[in-house]
Amino acid sequence: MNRQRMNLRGGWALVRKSLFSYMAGRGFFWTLALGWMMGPLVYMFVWATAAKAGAAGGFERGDFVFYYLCLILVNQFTYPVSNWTVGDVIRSGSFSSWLLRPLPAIYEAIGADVATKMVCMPFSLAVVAVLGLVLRPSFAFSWPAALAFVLALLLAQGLRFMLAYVLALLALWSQRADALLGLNDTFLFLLGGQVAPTALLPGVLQRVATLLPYRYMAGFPIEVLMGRLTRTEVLAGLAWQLGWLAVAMLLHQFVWRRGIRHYAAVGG
Amino acid sequence: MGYYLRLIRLFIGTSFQRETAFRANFAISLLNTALTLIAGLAGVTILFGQVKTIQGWTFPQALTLVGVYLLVGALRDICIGPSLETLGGLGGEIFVGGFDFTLLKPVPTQFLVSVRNWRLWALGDLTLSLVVMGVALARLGQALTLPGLALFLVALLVSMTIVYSVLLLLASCVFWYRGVPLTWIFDSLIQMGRYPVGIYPGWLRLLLTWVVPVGFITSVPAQALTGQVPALTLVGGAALALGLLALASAFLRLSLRRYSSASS
Repeated sequence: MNRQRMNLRGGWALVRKSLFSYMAGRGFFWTLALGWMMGPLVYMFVWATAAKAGAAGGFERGDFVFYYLCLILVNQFTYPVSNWTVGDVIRSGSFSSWLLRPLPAIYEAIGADVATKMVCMPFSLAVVAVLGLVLRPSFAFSWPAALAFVLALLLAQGLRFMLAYVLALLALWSQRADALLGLNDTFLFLLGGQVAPTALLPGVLQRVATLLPYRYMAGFPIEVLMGRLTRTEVLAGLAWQLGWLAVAMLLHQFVWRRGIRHYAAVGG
Repeated sequence: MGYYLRLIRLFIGTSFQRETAFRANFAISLLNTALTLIAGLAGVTILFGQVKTIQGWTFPQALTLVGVYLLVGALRDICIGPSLETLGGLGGEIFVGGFDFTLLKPVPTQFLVSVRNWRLWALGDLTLSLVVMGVALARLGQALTLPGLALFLVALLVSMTIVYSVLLLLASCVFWYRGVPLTWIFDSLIQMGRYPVGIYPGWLRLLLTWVVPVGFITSVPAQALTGQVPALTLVGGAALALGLLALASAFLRLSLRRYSSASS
């Protein structure tokens, strides 16, 4: 119990450490945030234009605008920044100082992750608010959907972070783990509801998308919020999220135990 | 002139030696290319699974655009991109302080900063983009005529001049402001060129044609290839490109005068 509280306090200290240094360079992080929102923006315009020629898969123009504006925020909220930095830290050898802290190393990654999101979120919210005023999204609000959305969003964030962190830890063995992260990003783009809402994917891809974890990292919470899923589908989705999160955590245990024995610091 | 060509050959030679020292990078660069290609193709395929045409563009025409987008990216990655990255990128000379040595070299600074680094792995991307364009043209059932090809090459030259000028402008900003490599913003905006500029709403289309001329960079060459670009558009694009080139060169000279070494 005591140890638990100690970890929380230490973790928060790490968040604050990163937060203050990031705030000083917020222009840098806002440029990153701009890059992250560009994909959803492009596909919002593409699908909004396509919907004018006739509703696609039950989506009207306003639905696409709403879906992709949400995706900008959900993507910002779930984007695992540390997946790139952890690899760099391991390669450069400063990973050793993470290991010396009286906290599990994952707290450093979580701290950087939370801090980046706190710096970037106001920027993304402002952009989305302006776009929302200009582009007129259509949306029906309901409390149950909103509550389920919050739950799905938190699980999506946990899942996306854990999977990226495990992949980044592979840098303990190989100098080239970045290639796997690129592959991960492509899957997320195709099957996570970025290139199109998963409901619009052609048959086989759609079935694959419901099995793999990627839809549950970005697209699923928005589908929940839009009230497009039946109650069974929402519950099934949440179950998939929990299941994949458990798998990612087990993988983390395994990779961490084996990897840490393999790690030998570089440089002095 | 011969002197400059000899220098460029030398730059290519040293870049090649440096790159072949890290051979694993080649495999990774190929993987990344394949992933970009898959993402680009999937985007277009899924879209045209739902609609027949979008703003008058058919599937093969949109496929041509994917090819042109990849081609422009590859051409940029071969030389302009890595060279200007060395100047103003993160960890570039201005940040680290190596620029004094560049400034002292007995060649025009703009020439040196624009062509000194080559990334020959990008030739793989180049080949792949040509294949995509070839497949697209075959599906269009269009024979490539000599005048059509000439028109495309002119449009491509205009496009690359614009890319170079904008990147040079943004890289020069590093002399004034060191917070962010501004070229990243261009990298984000150019993604809009994956699709015809016509799909964007009016205000954005104006922005994408004249302010960040993404339209001239990808849409116009693709239209030239499928033989549907008005001559006036090309002339306008050429004028814009030359104007930007003059502006960027002037701005680099102005910025250089501001430079006062990195160390204290």
